[in-house]
Amino acid sequence: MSVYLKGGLSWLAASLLVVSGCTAPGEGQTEKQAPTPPKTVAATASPAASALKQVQVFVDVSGGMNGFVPVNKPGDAGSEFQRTVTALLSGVEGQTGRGVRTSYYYVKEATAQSSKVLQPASYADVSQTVSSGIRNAAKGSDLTTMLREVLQRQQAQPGTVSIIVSDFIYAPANTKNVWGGKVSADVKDALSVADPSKLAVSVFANTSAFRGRFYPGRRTAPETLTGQQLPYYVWVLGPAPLVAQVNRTVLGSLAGQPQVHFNATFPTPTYGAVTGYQGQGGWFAVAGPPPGVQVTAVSAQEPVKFVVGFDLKNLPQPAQAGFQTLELDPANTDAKLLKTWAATTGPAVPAAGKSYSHFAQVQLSRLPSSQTLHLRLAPATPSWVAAYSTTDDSRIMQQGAKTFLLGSVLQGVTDFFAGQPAASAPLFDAPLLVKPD
Amino acid sequence: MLQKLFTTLYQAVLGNPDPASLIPVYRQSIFPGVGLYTFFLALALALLFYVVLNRVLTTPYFKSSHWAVVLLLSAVLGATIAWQKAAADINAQLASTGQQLAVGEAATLKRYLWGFTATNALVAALFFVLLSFLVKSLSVSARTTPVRWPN
Repeated sequence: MSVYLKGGLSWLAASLLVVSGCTAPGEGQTEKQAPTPPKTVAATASPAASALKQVQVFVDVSGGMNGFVPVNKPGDAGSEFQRTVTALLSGVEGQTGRGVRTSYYYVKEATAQSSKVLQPASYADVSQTVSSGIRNAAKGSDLTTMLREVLQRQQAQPGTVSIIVSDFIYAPANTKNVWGGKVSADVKDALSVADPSKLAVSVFANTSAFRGRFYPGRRTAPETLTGQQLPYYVWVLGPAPLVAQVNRTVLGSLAGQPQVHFNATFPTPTYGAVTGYQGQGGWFAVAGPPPGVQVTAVSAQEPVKFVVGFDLKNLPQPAQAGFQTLELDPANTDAKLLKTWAATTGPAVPAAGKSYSHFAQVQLSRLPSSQTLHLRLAPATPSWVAAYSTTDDSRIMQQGAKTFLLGSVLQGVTDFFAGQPAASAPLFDAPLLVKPD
Repeated sequence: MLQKLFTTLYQAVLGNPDPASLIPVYRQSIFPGVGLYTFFLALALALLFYVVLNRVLTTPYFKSSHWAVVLLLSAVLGATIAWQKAAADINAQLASTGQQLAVGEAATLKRYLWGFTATNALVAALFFVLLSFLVKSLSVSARTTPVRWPN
């Protein structure tokens, strides 16, 4: 018997060696396989029921715009306006390869021959004008007439997005009508051609060197500028998803500029609790939906801290920058938001959080039952509008980069969309399920 | 079902896995995987002892002491399976999430793993004992090993 037992024991010894030879987890994990991105619940936008079919571009060629498009000498860099708008036009024309029709128009004043302010042109024409100056500049362009005609053209063909490039100085012939509330009402009336529930408007502001005569909106004497920065604007009008698409694909160069989005809707970003990142206490991440955490142990002495990551790439840049205004609805818990940060500025992000761009740390010390917390982000307030607006542009040299009654014009757009659900809705509202283990 | 069964079994002895961030790996992969492997290991050893050694072949290994050696072997192999699978799964998880364990967490993880390894040695032995009683009637020369009951 002892022989067999010995045999058994040597087996046992060998097995023990196998056991003791194993390395403990956490030691030497670096040489393991490349990290795989964690599975996430993607909130996908509804399939393109109405895909982008047409982009129409309207470039204002009134005399007031001439200062933005100086004639360049060979080798010049061109003005900011020329660089941005040339790239924009090229980007729009580039959409033709994807089955999108494009059309281009000059915006001029109504004449005795034609009451229309929009004049069809070609890509080559418009691009040439931006590059080397306006010939036969129009005397002026009427903002409200322009908006009305643009919207009428847009509604004639579903799936159309309109891009307007202009200085957006509202200067109707009758100066008695140029006061704040009247201007707002005029703009609102012009937009009323369209159904507010089916329209979204994005406004991007930019400045460019202006060389030439500046015609004040107050209709005082023109001033000659020599390269001072003046604002111009790009408006994008159309159905909300298409406007978002055009903003992303064609207006990338303006993504970081001051902007405001009216009646825009954004898909809920991908989000989820991040394992192994700035956490503490007894919890683990649950993929959902809705995503959340399961808490194994929590007390006032040992609160639980976890981090929720968001992928905000579909939100405009100012909204992303406003991430620190994120709000937490704690439901029936004492959950509170400790801090928020962007991936680029915060602590190094582990593989589990690589798909997220922004993070929020939540603390919890009491959890009687399953609760659904909500993380909400309110739209960024366009505080730049006040800084870009003036009620008197007769001395634009001293005023700097300001636009006559811009605030009232944009107020008119706000008024037009008042009552739409998106007007008061948060950018996103992310439910987070927190439950005891 | 199996997942729940083995999770309940191991957590009844060991409590919740620590650190908590690794709980999903234990519950979804380690507990059910190790539990199932251990069951089949014990079944294989029981069949080896009762059917292969004491029915198909005619060997002198039918005594209770021989049975005890196989019992010990099942405990050792059960421990090995537990450690190997748990370590592999946890390392894979840590690599995929990029999680860095703090010094304290690595220590508790190791302690929990040793506890799991020891527990599974007992589980393997237990499975082997239970399965022994199920398969001993198939045997010819070891029908009464280690005890006469129930034959």
